[in-house]
Amino acid sequence: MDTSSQNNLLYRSSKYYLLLPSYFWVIVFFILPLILLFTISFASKQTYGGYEINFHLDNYARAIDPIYLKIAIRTFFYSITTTIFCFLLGYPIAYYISFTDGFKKVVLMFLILLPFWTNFLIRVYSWNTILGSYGLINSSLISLGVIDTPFDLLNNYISVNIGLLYGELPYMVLPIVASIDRIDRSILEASSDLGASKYYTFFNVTLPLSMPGIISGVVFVLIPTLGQFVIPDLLGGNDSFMIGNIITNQFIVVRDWPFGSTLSVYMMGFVMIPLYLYLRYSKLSLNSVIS
Amino acid sequence: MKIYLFVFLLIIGCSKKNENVLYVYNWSDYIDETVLTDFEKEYGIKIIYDTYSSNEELLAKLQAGSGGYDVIFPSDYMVTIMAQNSLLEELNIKSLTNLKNIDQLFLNPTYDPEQKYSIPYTSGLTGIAYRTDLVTDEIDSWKIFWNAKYKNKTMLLNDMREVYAMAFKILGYSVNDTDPIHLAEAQKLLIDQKKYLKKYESDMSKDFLLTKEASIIQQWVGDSYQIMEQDSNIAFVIPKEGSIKFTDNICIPKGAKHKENAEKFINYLLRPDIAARIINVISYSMPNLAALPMVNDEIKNDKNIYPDEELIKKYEFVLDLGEYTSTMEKAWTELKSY
Repeated sequence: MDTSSQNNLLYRSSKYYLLLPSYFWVIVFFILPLILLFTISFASKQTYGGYEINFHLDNYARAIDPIYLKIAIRTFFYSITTTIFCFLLGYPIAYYISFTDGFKKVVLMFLILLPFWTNFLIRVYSWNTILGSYGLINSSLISLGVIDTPFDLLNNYISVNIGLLYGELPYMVLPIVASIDRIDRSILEASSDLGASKYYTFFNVTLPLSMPGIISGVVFVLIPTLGQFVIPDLLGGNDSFMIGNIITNQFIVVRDWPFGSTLSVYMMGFVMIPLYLYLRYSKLSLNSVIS
Repeated sequence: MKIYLFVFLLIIGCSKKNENVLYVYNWSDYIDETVLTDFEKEYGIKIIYDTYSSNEELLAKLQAGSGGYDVIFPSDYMVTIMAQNSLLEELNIKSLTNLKNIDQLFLNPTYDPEQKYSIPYTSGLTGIAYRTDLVTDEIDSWKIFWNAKYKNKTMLLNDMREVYAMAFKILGYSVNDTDPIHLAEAQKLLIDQKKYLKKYESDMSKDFLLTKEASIIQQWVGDSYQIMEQDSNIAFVIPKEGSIKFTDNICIPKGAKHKENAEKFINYLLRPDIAARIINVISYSMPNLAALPMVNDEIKNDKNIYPDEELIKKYEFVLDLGEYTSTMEKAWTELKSY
């Protein structure tokens, strides 16, 4: 064995030592909790909290009750609509930001990030004063004489969906800005030089090339929304309970960790689908770039 | 950059070590906040104050081993549950010199017969708070929550035992009923009520009543009186069916890191002048006899706050249901999800 191959071996193994901290991180904060969650989902609850591990599927059977199924469908529906509206609203914003430059662009990016400086709960809670029966919207409409009785905007599905859209929008805008920024401007010029109209260029050049950003945006919005519980808790009512609310309730009120874990396992299984599609897509686009 | 980081860590390290603190976990709107700042001044102990909105939330937090609180305020039945699950620290009664101010009737209660874990803090009833300018009917019964006129304008407490207690009382059962058939009847009644319900909400429902978002809410007496002071169009009634009466207690959770500070704080809360200040702000009665002369007359003479025998006959203490708790919790999860 010559020295170069030995060095190579040393180099290779040292590379793995350097990875140790990240392995540690992934194992302690990701793999172990997942194993724990999975194990507890087969356990039984004890009366005052705590659980007894005695592998059975009762929790899994209980979770497919139509009551929870209805909420799962609602959660899915809210997530899809939130994602669609975030895209419809977020893409033009991102497009505009990407095609400005200099100080203006800095200011616009700053404005997108500005809300993060305030606590999320306060920002969500403040929608109460906007959407309430005698809040900003209703009292303006009443004083303008447009309506007599206030609209019911708060503590129902309307306020929850507004809250979700508001909360998730930056996560759609930011990756799209990044991907439009990366598009080579000479490609767009070439398109117009060859006689393509602005619309033609947008739909055939800009939009397809910003696809990676859109896909990331969709994943960033869709998946957190599926697990959302703060917004339906603060702004929602009777008709807008989401699956995340049931899960938090199992942990923080009725102390039924096994059932909460079971619902989480179902949720994760469900979230895997868009995630799998995302990974597949991103692999494909990587391959197409290489070839 | 590194220097800054080092200095920053040093500051954090130092401040942690020298801190003489007390972590208090109480119900929301359940103390006069000036009492806390006065305690800090008098004893040189910094209070870190946090709130919760149901006994179950408190239990879940302690069960999960999180929190690190030194003083908590569980209700009667929850003291039993927590003591049984060894979640409470035994109190050093000798250090509580002001215990002599407490009404003998409230000492050695059934939920803590040897007075080992708890000191009574406040007591009260659950009733209905409503807006007189939006409600035209005379309210004297829980059945108002099933009145279609107030669809989407009613809120019930986000509290399992309170909600089922209301349904049980309408059906003529005890709040501690453990018959599954009766529970199913109550469940049916409550599912029917969800048509008219805006939300299960404990803390914020008071704000929603003030902003006219809701017009009738299920609420505890003192909390209702707190908002009645802010808006004269709000009234409180005790429904004829009755419901829950409760005594909330001061306890020290197991493993509390500042037990001595906690006992100083408990003894401070039992001082007549301090107790009277709290009662005057939160509008809940306290079993502190020595404080009574300093309590405002309108509170002292209010039958809802200091109820007579006649009024509380239909009111019951919540008892621990043992194994049956899980059955009720399952129904509660289904009710909220329905």
